Amino acid sequence: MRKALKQYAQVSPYLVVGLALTLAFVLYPMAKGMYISFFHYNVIKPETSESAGLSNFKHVFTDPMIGTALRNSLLMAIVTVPGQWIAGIVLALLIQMKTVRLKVFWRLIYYVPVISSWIVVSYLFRFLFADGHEGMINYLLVDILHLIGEPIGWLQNTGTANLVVWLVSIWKGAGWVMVLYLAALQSIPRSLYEAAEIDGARPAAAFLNITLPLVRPLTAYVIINLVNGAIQAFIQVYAITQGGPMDSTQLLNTYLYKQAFQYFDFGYASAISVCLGVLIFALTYTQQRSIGRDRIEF
Amino acid sequence: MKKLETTLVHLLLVIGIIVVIGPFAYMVLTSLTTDNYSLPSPQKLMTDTKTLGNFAQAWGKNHFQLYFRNSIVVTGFTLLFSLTLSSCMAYAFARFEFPGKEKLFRLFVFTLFVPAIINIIPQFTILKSLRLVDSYSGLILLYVGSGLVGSTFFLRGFFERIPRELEESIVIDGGGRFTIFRSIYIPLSLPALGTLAIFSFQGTWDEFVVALTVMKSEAHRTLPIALQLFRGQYVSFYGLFFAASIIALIPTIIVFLVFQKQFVKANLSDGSLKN
Amino acid sequence: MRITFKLTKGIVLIAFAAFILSACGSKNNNDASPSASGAPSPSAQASESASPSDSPSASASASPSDEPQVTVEFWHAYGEGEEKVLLEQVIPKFESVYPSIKIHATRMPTENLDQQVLTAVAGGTPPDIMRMDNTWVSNMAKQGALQEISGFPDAQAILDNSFKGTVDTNLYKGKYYGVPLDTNTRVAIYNQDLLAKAGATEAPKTIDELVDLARNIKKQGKFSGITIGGTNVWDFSAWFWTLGGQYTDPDYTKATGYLNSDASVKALDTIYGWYKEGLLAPPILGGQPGTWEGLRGDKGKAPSYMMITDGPWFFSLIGDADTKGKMLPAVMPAGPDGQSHSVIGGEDLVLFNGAKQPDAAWKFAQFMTSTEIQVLLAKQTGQIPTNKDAAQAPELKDVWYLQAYVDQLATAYTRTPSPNANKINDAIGAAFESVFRGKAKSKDALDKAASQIDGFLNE
Repeated sequence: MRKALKQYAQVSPYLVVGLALTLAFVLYPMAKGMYISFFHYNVIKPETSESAGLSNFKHVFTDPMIGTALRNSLLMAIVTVPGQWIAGIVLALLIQMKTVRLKVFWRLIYYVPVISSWIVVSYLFRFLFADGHEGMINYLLVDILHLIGEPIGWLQNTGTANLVVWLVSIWKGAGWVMVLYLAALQSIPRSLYEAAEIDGARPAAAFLNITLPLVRPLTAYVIINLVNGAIQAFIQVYAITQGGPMDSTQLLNTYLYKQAFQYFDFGYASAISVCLGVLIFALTYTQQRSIGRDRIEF
Repeated sequence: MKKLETTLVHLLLVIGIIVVIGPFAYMVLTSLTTDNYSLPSPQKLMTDTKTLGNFAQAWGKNHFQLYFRNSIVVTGFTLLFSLTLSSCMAYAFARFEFPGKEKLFRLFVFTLFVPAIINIIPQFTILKSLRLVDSYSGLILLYVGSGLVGSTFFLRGFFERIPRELEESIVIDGGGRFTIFRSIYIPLSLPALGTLAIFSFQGTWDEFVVALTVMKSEAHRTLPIALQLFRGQYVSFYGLFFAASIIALIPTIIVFLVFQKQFVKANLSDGSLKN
Repeated sequence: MRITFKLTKGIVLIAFAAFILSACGSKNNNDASPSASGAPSPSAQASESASPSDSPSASASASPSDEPQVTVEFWHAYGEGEEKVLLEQVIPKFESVYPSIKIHATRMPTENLDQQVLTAVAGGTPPDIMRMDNTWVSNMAKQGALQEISGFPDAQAILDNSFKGTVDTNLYKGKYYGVPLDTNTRVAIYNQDLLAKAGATEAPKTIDELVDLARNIKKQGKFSGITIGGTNVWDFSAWFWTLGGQYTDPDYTKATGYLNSDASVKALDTIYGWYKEGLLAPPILGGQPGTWEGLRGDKGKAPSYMMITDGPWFFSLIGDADTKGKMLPAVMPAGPDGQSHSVIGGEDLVLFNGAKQPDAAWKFAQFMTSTEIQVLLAKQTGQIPTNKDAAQAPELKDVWYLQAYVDQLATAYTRTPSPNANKINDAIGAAFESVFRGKAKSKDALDKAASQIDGFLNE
């Protein structure tokens, strides 16, 4: 007991301010969301809110839109997380090669999508993938390259509309992964690779056996962040498809936003949010012990 | 053989660049044309006369310059405070033992998975009770507070990679934990801090909804709000909107160039980690 | 050695950051330590907020000696041109009539506006008065965000002197929560060249004439005779109503028996028939080119849409040079009942609960709905008055395109006023879309939507 107090006393100078801010702006709003999910919540006059019991949660399980939105959110994670990760790693490995010149230039160019504004990029893609001959992509495929005969109605079908949303997410995120891995790759002592080369290991094997294990903590961080990005994804759908055609590209996040700010149904929106949190908590439960604990020594 | 490989790699990189830059070419061309109530068709982009007029107009409209300065202030302070606070927190999680540490950390990570989009109202209520609505302090506090978990998580991994043996020299000299933190963990983590600085800058620079919610007076608004104002009630002026966003991109590119150089150099000369 | 070297680097980095901050913060000296003080520094804010509100006009200096005693916060999402009229003409006029009231107008982006309003009210920091899309009013009233207006002086007079359709948008549970400010509707706008190409010298009077013209022009190449901007209620309603469709009973209490009536199914089937026949332009399902680009053509691309429907802003934003003599505004062609029924849009002025200056704000509302200001706004911005006297003002004839809109308003309908308007409109739009995408038969889609909407209306 006394030991614990002493430990808290020691760590508090480093922890207190940050913890207070996190409590105020992350944990409290989250707890409040959980509380709200048990009410038919009136956000303007909270005192008039009626208790909803579990009805918001029941609604989550009976609302047919939840299935669609959950599917899209899961697909978003399943497609864009590996997509960004692989694209980013490949870029990092290419740029990192000894023979590649102008490293700073490549790095900057591939990073530009990351730093550009989401809303601008979303509009760009919406019009790049416009249907008919008006969209640049169709124009390229049909009129310039003659790869396909008829223009594709990209945003008119669930599948292709989702594809556009995924593409923009990967396009925008790959540079972020690249930059992180470039930094990590540079911190790996060359001597390790030299040893591998002497042993006759092929570059691919060296990557799998040396690089990846060494950057494991980074990979954990990157993957968690990409999953986080897939769950918080919003603008790309909001600005490109508006959830259409026929609400078939809504994500859980866009759907709950609509419930909250267009239908003013905060109780239900919070219930969706809580359910998603619980789902992810359950899915990642077994992994959680190792998160942040990975530690390597060279 | 080696030469072929080099050419191939460069070729791949160039193809990648076309994919990456293509949309931007579209954006730049759009910003050079006028009379766009929707995004221009490829035909128009090819044939229309190009002008820099949108850039001049955008710079002069919607308090663009004032909002630009506001954004730099807000983003700068957010950057400074989130780097400071998150490195302290990361150090606490990496090198201190205290009861409930891992539980707390897991709670932190868990928050990353819960949609944060409707948190804005409770967050706003807190700012209001602190009497910080419509102030830079409030906006900065909110930005810093909501980003700390991610940055702490990021830095903890880096801090834990630093061998404890390095601390010994400080301990022998009679230095305390803060000295260790300041003279070992911070300098050795510059690459990570540089990376984090870039992320933090861009996340804040781009942010629209929170800024608009917190800042009530027009004079306090930030740049993304000026961008949105180019999209009107009935039509959007895409030429202006894109010209404005290109101008807005410049500081982010500068920050990237500055910080990335810093961290790359720090790493290349890295010999101390090995032993 | 190594470590000290690194430390130097760290210091350089921090110094650099500090440099950026101090360089950029110079304008805001007082605010240079935001979290240290922990509270907003009023002096910095005061000096800052002076600059933008000063710039648009000399309003502040126009009223000397007389110090403003109260400031009214006014939110709006006017476009740039309209904002200019507001700041340079309307507000100075108001402030010269009421020297003790200062109007602080804030232009909000339309993006996320609903969320902004809600957060501000929930957080206890609403503006005093706002120009709000009239479809939001009853829902905001239901949430408790708005003040009921009957207690304010002359409230009934303003309502009585406004068009009924626009007044009704302020209703919630039999009480009024705002006053109409401006209204609009959509008329048919024809490209005169293409109209001639289709074989007409003037705008078609009936839907049948229009369909004939559409068939004529389709034979001559890649042209579309009819453009419907989408399957949402704002774009689609006018066509559905004109062809005999209905959403609810006249009292907005029930959709079953109306939305899914035989006449409604027939109306939807007729339009779907045009679509199958290839008479409709791509925007019906979100295709390109957009309505304006298709109608006017674009650089490197000839016009291909003979007609669209849109509001008066089409003319005010593009300007006379590119519209007068080229684009013809006309009342929409009539349906089976000999009339056409377009959709009413517009904005109301609402006062918030928690407004700090409700009485001064109400004076501003009275001022904005006065005949003089309504005429001024109509002339300068093309916004159609809701004030009956203003709508009759001879000056409006100066705005050449406005007459068609005023005529169209006489038979236009309002979208279902309800606290659940968003849900209702979404349900109707989804039903229409499912038909056009071939996912459902008209009757089935409308049956389903009708029963959903019954639920929303009874909530």
